[in-house]
Amino acid sequence: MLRLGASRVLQNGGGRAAVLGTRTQASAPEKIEVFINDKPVMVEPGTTVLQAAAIAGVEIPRFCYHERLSVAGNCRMCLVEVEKSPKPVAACAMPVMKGWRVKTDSDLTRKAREGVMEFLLINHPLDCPICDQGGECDLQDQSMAFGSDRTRFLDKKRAVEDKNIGPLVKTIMTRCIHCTRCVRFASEIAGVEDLGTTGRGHDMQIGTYVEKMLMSELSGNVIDLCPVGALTSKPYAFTARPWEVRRTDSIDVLDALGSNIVVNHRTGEVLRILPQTNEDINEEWLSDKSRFSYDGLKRQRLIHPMVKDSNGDLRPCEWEDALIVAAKALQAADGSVGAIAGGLVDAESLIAMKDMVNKLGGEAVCTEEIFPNAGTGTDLRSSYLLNTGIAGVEEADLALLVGTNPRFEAPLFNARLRKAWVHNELDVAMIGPKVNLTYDHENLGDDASIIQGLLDGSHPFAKRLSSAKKPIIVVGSSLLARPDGSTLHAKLLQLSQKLRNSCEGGADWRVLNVLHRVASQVAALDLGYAPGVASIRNAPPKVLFLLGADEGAITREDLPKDTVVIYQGHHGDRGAEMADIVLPGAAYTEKTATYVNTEGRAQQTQAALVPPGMAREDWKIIRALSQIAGVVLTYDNLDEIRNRMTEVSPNLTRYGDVEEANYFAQATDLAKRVQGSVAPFPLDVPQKKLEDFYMTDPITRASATMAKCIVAVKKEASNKYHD
Amino acid sequence: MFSRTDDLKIGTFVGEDSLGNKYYQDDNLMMGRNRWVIYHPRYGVDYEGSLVPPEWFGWLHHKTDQPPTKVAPVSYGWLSGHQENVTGTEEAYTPYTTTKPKIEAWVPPKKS
Repeated sequence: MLRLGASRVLQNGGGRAAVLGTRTQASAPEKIEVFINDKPVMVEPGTTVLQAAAIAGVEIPRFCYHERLSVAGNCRMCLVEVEKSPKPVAACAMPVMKGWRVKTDSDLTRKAREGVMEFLLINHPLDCPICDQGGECDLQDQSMAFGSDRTRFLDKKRAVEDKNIGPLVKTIMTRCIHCTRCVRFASEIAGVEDLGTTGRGHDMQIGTYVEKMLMSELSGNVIDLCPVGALTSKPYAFTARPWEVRRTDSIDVLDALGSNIVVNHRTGEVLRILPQTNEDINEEWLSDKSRFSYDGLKRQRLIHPMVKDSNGDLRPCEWEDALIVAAKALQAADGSVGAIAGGLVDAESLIAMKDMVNKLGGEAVCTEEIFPNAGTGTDLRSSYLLNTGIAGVEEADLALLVGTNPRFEAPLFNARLRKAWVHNELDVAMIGPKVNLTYDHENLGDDASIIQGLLDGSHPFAKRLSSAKKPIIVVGSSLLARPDGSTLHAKLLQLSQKLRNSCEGGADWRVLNVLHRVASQVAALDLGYAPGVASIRNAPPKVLFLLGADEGAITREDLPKDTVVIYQGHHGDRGAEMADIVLPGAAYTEKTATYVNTEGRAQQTQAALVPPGMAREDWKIIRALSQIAGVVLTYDNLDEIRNRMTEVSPNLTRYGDVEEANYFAQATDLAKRVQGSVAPFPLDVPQKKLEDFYMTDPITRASATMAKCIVAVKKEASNKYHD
Repeated sequence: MFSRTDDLKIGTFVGEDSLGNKYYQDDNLMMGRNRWVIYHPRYGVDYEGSLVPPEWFGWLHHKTDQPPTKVAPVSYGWLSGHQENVTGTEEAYTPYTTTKPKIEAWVPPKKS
């Protein structure tokens, strides 16, 4: 994918106008008047007929046109009549001229649409009854609305061989109408140049030229993009019809971005997960892990409480028994109680857990994910947020990635970076191992001492940084988990503040961005959890509460033999294996709960299903346990617990809003006092290749689809057609 | 006897089946009431029609006039033998699902 020139940048308004600053203001073009069905509309020059019609509230049918992709203009469905034009024009590609009178419902327009539809249907099979797209098919809908009611076609239909492009996307290429949306998505947004067209006219085919897998972490989006049933979801194939599923708007928690999703479910099962448009977070895309790992919600689940018997085996029991055993252990601990929160935990359970442990007299409440605690540590929100915001990076002109691989840690954030790289001339540099980010970037090496070099200006890249107008520094959370994380964080904080003072972005521009990997981290830090399990390891409590902590930060070997481990979560994984008491909780599709994403935006999931078996919503379990243990928590329903959350951290209940953070200067002053040396080993990221992306948490580890992906990707390594 | 059958009848003893039920006949009574069974006392008042084995069933219901004591019933090796109706008892058949459960539970690894 070639990057678009400056002319393209100038052409577009919106966020990019702010980048160009005064220049755009001086040459702000005058609006021109056009008439859509005799209704006057004022539009900017360069607007296409289709966009002008959309402003006027008229939707023109289309197949190949998509707002987020380049204009192809090859389906011809958007033909409309323009007065004094001899032929109908393709609305998606034709910029409007002053005074044009566009007729979107004239006889000529309707005849053109009907003709185009007839040609499209020549080679489209009549297999709607067995097609997975049935009911949500653009071709089906538009042929009903604009097509002819009879056929004049008597020849044989063409057939195309199906392609195997991996375990996620099913292809039925005979249905393809060659809109090339998938080709444009793969090359423009996903950044993998695997899909393309071969042949012309009747012989045109979409495919990968040679048989290979579509190796992208965003490949599932081509299913949504495909206007017909040529690309459908393999795991969802023949499962349900769109009109018989129930839809619940929710939030994805499998990475730290909090993408908005629609959970499609029926008969107590999640059938599929689709993205929901949110311009500030995921636009309309969704990563493959979030989209396809829903089958992990049905496997390895904890569906009844369990307590260890005299043989040391976990045995299912009633809630009453488990809660009484747990409460007795908590009371016997006499204040020596600790808690570790894992990556998928919601804010409600976090606050309930912290309140209960504190009331019992314990102080060690911490998160499994490590974050430096020196300097101001987590006291100031600005030191652990993605301060620029996910959409904000589109304004940046230089991004420095430090110890992170956003392609796999947050695929949609990487898609944003790529978008800025394509449209806004963003330059990207990286300190860390050599990885493929899907766009060109400069790798400065993986030596941690480069950061010091950038800070004191001795590294050659420091000049580039200081001359950048709006630089951003994206810090990976795996970097901060290093033993010298505090030192590196302090140095990056100072570097960011230095750049912030010198760059042209002004007081509102923020440079430091911390990219988290897990959904619970920001909420946990907002609520005052201590990052990292060091305090538990140094002083093991008598009762350790694992709240969905499955990454193995603390193992049985770290604890004395008589420590009682209580695990509460939704999947049987490493945490449940080492537990003495298991309390079954709810997964993110089964509870109405609050999550805060890496930019500090509070959002809530909605319960689509009920938790399976005897499992219950997590905060209710903790509330019940607290009562039996004799330290009653004072909230009985969701509103009351959210009031409590608001008391501790008001941003947690301002749903949908980013609560911005500041006090960079103060954080930097304190960061200067952090003493410590940089460890000699190189910076590394845990997820380097595509196979590392699929399984990162208990849900994805239980997912058979994700396992298939890993097998397929590993098998592709021997495919000579991949570079 | 009266409390078990609500009836007092006198007839000739015809035979006894494998379960200990006794069969009587009195042809002075009208057709349909002339052959009867007195169930073994161990059944108390919990007797019911399926306690009559098939070889006696035919005689009792006038399918034949030859009781199995006179004409031995045919027997093959593949016949399974009489089984009374177990509805309402613990042996009663309950249908079970043959489909995979929607949620697969985690089975903790065994230590011992």
